[in-house]
Amino acid sequence: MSPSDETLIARVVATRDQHAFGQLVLRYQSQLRIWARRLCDGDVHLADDLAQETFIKAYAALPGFRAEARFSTWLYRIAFNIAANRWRSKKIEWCELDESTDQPAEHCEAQQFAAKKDVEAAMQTLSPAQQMALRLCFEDGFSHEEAAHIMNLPLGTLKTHVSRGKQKLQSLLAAWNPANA
Amino acid sequence: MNPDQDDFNMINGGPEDDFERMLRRQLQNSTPYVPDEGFSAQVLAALPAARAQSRWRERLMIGVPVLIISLLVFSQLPWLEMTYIVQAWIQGAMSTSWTLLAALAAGAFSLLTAGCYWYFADEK
Repeated sequence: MSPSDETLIARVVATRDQHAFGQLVLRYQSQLRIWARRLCDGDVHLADDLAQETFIKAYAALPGFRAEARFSTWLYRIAFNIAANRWRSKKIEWCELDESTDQPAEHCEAQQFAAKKDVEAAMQTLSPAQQMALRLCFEDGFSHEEAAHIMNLPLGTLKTHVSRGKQKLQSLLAAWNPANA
Repeated sequence: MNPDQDDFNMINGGPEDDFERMLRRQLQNSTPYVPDEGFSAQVLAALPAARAQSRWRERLMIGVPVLIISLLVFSQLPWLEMTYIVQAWIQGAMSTSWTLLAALAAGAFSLLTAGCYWYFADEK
């Protein structure tokens, strides 16, 4: 049985055990790199660079990690902050999280979404903030509070993004919504 | 990431409706796994070296108590009497065997050399 996150973190904090940290990196690299790709608008190389910087910062800051949040939440938040800083200095193309307008979706009529794989296409019609909020809550399994913490947003704003995004998806994917079957 | 569906419902303050369940299933099923392909090794290679610092800390943690205990023990020894004994022994040894004295000196030197080598070997 592999050791828990808490055990590995304790070993890293106590003795700067790089082998233990390596196990944490291996455990979370896939999730974090996918999250980084979302933050970097799909640019794989920038995303891997961001993920690597996130892990290095996490290693340095691990003694300050309080187990009030999950380790994954903490990692996502670090990545988000790095991406936000890069975006502010225009090193990466990114999105404005405060925007409230949806992208035009006239071409995305509900009839187009007949198959399950079209969820992705439907997601693309949402604003970046709505996409991120929905993915964090539904794809990554974070709670609303955790997602708000990661995105550095008030809980109410996060819930609004989730609710509006869900509403729009519901109308776009009405054809295969179980409630309409 | 959150394997327990009921937990999620509790966390987010209410049961999921059919659409939410379907959305969760579809999004989670469509999430790819990104193979490591050397990424973790790259991260570990880029970490700052912390071993040199911890080695010195380890030596301090061992060396300081040993030094304090040694000083306490040495302060309790009857130095004057010991000096007489050693002096008498050396005089006796010198009168009996130069070979024995040379062997003792060579042994002490060998031990000292081995100790120094062991202490500094890791730093190379």
